[in-house]
Amino acid sequence: MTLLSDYSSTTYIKRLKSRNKFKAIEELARSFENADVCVDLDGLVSALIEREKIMSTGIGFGIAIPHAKISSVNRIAFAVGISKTGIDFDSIDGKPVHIIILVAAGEKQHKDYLKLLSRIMSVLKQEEARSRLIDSSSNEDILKTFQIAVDS
Amino acid sequence: MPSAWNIPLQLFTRLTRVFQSRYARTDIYRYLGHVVMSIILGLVAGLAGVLFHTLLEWMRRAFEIISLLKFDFYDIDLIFVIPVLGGVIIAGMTRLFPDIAREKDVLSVIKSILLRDGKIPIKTTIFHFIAPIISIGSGAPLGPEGPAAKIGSGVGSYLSQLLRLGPVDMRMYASAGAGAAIAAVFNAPIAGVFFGIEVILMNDLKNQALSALIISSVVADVISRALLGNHHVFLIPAYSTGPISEYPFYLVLGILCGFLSLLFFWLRRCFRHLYNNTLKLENAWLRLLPVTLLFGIILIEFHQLYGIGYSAINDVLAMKFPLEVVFLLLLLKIVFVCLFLEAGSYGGVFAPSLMMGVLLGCAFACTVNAALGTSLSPVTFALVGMGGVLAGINSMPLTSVLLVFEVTNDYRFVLPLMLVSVIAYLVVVYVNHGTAYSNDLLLEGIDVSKRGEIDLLGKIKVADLKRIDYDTIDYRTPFPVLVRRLLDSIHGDICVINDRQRLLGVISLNDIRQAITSMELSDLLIAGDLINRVPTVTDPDPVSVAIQRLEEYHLQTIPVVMSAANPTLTGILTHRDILHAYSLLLEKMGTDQYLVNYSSRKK
Repeated sequence: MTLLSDYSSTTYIKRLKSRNKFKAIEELARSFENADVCVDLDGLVSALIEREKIMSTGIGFGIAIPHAKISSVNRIAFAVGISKTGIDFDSIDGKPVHIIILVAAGEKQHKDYLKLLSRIMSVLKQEEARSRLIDSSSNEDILKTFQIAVDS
Repeated sequence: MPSAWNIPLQLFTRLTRVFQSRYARTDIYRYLGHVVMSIILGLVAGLAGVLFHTLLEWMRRAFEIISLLKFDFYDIDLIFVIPVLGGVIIAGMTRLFPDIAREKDVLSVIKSILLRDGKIPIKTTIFHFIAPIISIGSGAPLGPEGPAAKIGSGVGSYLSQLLRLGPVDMRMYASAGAGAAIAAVFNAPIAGVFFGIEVILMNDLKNQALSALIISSVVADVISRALLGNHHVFLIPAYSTGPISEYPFYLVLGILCGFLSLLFFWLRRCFRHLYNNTLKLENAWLRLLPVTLLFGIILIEFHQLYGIGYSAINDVLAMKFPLEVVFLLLLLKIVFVCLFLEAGSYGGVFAPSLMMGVLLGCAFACTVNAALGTSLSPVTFALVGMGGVLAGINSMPLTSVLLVFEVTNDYRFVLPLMLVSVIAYLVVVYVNHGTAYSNDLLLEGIDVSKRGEIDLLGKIKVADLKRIDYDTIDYRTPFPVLVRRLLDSIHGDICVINDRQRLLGVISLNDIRQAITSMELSDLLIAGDLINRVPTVTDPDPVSVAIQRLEEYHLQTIPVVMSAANPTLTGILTHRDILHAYSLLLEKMGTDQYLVNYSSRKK
């Protein structure tokens, strides 16, 4: 059984310092630096920013899910960024974002991409899970929040 | 008009009407009409073949007179002038009618039948009647069968056009005419029929043209024998077929014939590259005249290379040449045949194949005898070599066996002939991954399947089936709007474009099923997130390419763009439209006619 957490890693989890949403996206995307997720990190960053400029991925409740599907991504993965102070993301509800889930997928991973986004949303719609993510002191605890089956 | 004529005229008109109303749509009328048409075609194609043969002979003699005029003081053999003179005329013809000139050789006949319903304009037929007479008559080392096939199919096509027959009939009589003319020119009716089956119909034994092919070939050959006599061009000296232990040598000869055929294809490719890419010669005179001049100079020493070369074949069979001359003639023949063909001369490769085969077979037997002390008959090996090279170069093992058998009127060497012809054919097919004609057709974008059936969808272009009633959406469109547009879309999918109308991808209902079921995603996604990057096609692409890509990517529609470099969307092609076009094409081919007859008989 594949778990949602299998698509991430403790190294892809960051306490974000940036206050600007584009800087925050870049900072989080760089967590894939030494992993085999993407062969062109600059390309990934610009794709994420371009997408963000079209329509904000801040969907309210302090959550943003920047995402991109490009050919330089070898393996679908997501990174988790936590900002206690909050980042202005032009969210639907106008509130600052505390949890950023950054999803990177390959061009041909269309089905997995939608499934992954859908499962991440199902975790984040629970208020308890959102609080746990913000308050967790260790990356392992954050990753545990995503230990749900992808195909359920 | 006198009143006395009125009664019989009215009677005739009335009888015609009764006949047409009662019988014109009956099977017996159609079959009788088909037989009569095949006989007329055989007569006309046979007469055209005989006229072609006779004019070719006259032209050869007319040019030979020039070579007999010698300057006594300088002792110059004027034979070298003849090919140049012929070259000047035919290069001029090529420049005057460049489009018609391109439609030459057997391949153009196959293409006319496959792609243009057998329609060959009469001016093309007349051009390819005259041009080879001048080129071969003036010494070009080529054969009459390519032009003969062109003339025969042109006659079949023209008769069909005169009688306003449909495309199915026109294809049938154009195919049959080609076989009939071959039968007349070579005095070989069975080979004519098999040439039609193996080459023109591409081994399609179920083809409707078969009966027309047989009838017209027989009639054409009868005409040819009646007018030209029953003589055979080759004079075969006494020979023995040798013991069974000689068969391994035949096997080796078969392989050598295959290699010689491959050398022939390689040389043609080299000369084509030389003319088109290295020298970039487009002027017909510049292409042809240097070749004719060089050939003319060679002719001073080797008269045997002049024209079709049947007398040279007889000389080889009579062992008139020493071994080194046989080798030299073989080398010169293959080089000049390829040079003339690529330089733009007119003529076929059957007769040159026969000469190359004779030279190879004779050289092989003599060399083996000298090296191993065997007593192989050079005559038998030369005759068998004829079939081998003919089969290798033209990819027609059955026709080769029958043609050599019919032109030599000798049955005794038929077993080694069959073996060598098939081996040579297999060597060529194995190395080239296909027959000569199927590979040449493939180079022109026409895919012919192994069973000899044309790739029907390769006949139509994307532009012919393209739809312009397609849905597009901007890549920034929010998900809820996208879903509504998709549900209202004409074809169940929607093309995503950018500000410059360039295609970014396609979204189908199937692609967003996951997103629709998860309501949380509706605020997160835009059209650009859901793009499926699909393959595209362009207007000039054959529909067969589109169907391959549709099936490979499991798509129902494929976008049509301006070009690979400029993916501006111009339309779409749907799977359903392609299937519809395919069934229409099948109907046009007459295939489903049999299905209807079969099911109605079952009832």
